[in-house]
Amino acid sequence: MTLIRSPLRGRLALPTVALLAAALSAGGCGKPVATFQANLAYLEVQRRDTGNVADATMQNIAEVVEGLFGTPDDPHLPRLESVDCNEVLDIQLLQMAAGSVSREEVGRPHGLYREHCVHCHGISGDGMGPTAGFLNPYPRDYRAGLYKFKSTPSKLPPAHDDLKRILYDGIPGTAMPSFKLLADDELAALIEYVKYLSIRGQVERALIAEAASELDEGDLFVSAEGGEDNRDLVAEKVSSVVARWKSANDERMAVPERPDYTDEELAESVRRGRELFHGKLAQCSKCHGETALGDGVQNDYDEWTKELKPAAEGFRETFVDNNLALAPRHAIPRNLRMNVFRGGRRPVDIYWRIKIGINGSPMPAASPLLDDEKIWDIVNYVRHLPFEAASEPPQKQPSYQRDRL
Amino acid sequence: MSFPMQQVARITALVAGLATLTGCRPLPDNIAVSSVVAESIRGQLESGAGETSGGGEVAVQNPTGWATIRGLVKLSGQAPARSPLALSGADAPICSANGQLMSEEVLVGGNNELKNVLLLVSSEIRKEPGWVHDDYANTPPLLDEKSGFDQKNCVFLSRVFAMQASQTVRIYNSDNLGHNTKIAGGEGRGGQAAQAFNQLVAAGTSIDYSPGGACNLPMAVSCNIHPWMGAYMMVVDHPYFQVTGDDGVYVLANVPAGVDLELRAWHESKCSFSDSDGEWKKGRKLVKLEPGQELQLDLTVSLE
Repeated sequence: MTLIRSPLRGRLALPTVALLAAALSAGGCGKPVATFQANLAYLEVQRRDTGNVADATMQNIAEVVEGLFGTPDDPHLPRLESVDCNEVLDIQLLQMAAGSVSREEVGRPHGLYREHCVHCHGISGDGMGPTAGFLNPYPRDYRAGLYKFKSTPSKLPPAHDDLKRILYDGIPGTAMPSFKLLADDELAALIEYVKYLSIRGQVERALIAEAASELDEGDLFVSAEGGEDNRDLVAEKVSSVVARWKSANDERMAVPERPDYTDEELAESVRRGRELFHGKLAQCSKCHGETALGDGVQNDYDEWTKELKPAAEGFRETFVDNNLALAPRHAIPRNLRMNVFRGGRRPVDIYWRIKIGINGSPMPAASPLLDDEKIWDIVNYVRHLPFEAASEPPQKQPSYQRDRL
Repeated sequence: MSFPMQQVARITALVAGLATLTGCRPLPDNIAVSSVVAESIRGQLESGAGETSGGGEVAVQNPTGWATIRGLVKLSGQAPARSPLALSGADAPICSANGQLMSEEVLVGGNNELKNVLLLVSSEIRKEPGWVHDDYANTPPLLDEKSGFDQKNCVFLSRVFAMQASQTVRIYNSDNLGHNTKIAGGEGRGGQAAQAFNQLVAAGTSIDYSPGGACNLPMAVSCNIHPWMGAYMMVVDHPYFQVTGDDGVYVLANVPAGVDLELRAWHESKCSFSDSDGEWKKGRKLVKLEPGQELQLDLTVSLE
């Protein structure tokens, strides 16, 4: 007799099923209304590092953010005098990506984000969907507006085409798949929705930071009953976040044409690249290691983790045990001998990574003394590395692999 | 109809098992938002109605002259002993060649004078005549040489660095090895916040950083190649700020008199500030000075 079959057999079957259904619905497995998760991790960071944010203020921030941006089922773009959000977001595409998964007869899909993204990136774009904990690297948290693989200066968010490329090609070496098979408008809808989650998340963070450092305890941003508040700050925060996203599309970094090398010239460029890689001007080997196996600096964190201060007292209790953050992992420099390049393996992709750095990661932008010819030399060397005899220079195992043996 | 107890227990186990199998990692607490309240707030924001207390609620004040605020900042109680920094990586022997590197969080003088405390006027200084004294007319557009931001022996030479938003600072690397200088970027007012920055500064070279806007609080500065390196950079959109030196003294000279000024004090450790009138709430104090007044405002800092 199996445990599963027995209760469903015989005269007890019907009441048993009823009891089971009742128990399940009491346990909350019905269809709950989708809500955004407040950024309580950042609230804890600000309370710890900057100043107290009263519960009433945080409640007000959650209300203001919902007022501005709506809910997962019904996204909204704030119609403020000082800023036109329609310049960076398309509400019709957003509505296509939002809500629960469905398809009208005419074939217009809804709920694309929940169909394709939510299980990893989470309903709020916090990178903490149900599968997140099983993945390495963890899924991106969109709420800080930080993106690694892009063609814009480091101070700016990614351009539309940068996000499109990630969706189209996926990110090799990670759990992020390619969504090449989606229709163009569906891809566009998902890009809009990711931007929307970022803009919403950045405004929320800005309001929490503002409350922690600038407001008196218990002050409100917008009082629902009227009266004194700080509503001009809300408009200001939305404007400054939207302005940055707007300028990103206009400020993509121009890439000088890669020289057309003969075989001998390419070999010479690779040789110069190897010298630069190990030299003082580029300093690549400091982090990526003398062997390029990614075995240089091993104990750094990325920006998303660093602000939580994983080494601080009480970190685990506050953040991990309360499910505000996943267990922290070190940012290990890329092993360049694997021939797996997360941001893409075209020469231009590697050029951008070197020239402007990788936002959110320890990887800095190149020194201005590294001119374009030198950067192309390093690009050529990096592309050559996976095929270089690993004994030249002698290989060394990264410490995290040595530890395992 | 009644169930045998055994049956009930079995079903309970089954339900528990199912819940576990569906794998619901518990969600963190959330903040419940009433859609009615959110709608009402949306209406208010989008109609542009309502009063704001953020600024402009009182008749515009105009400065009536100049005044100076000065004071001595002291730490209350014993300063924590400086601890040796844990160096790692291939550069460690070079970085510690001139002696063990020590933590710089709390640096005090012989009489507990506290170094690296930032004092500034945090209320708005208008870009109008009468708000900024002529003494500041010759603010250099580029901070270089001695007033730049330097690093030597894998230590940032200015632990707390402050500058104006209109200025550019030259970031030097006086070491014979490479550093990357990473500035976190800040939250600011007026839509123009200090920008993030992360560039490699090759050995013996320099790079210019133009923040492009002010920040509310100092931004963290770090080097990823040498993770123990740390500093703070503050960008202000007026000239009324100072960081205390070894003597713990600060001077905010020729601030506008006759207007409400908010002063802010900051130190990298979590701490509270108080003067003879009591504690500064969130590190801030309101003052209004008479023309020609010399206000002595000594501060006591208590670490938390």
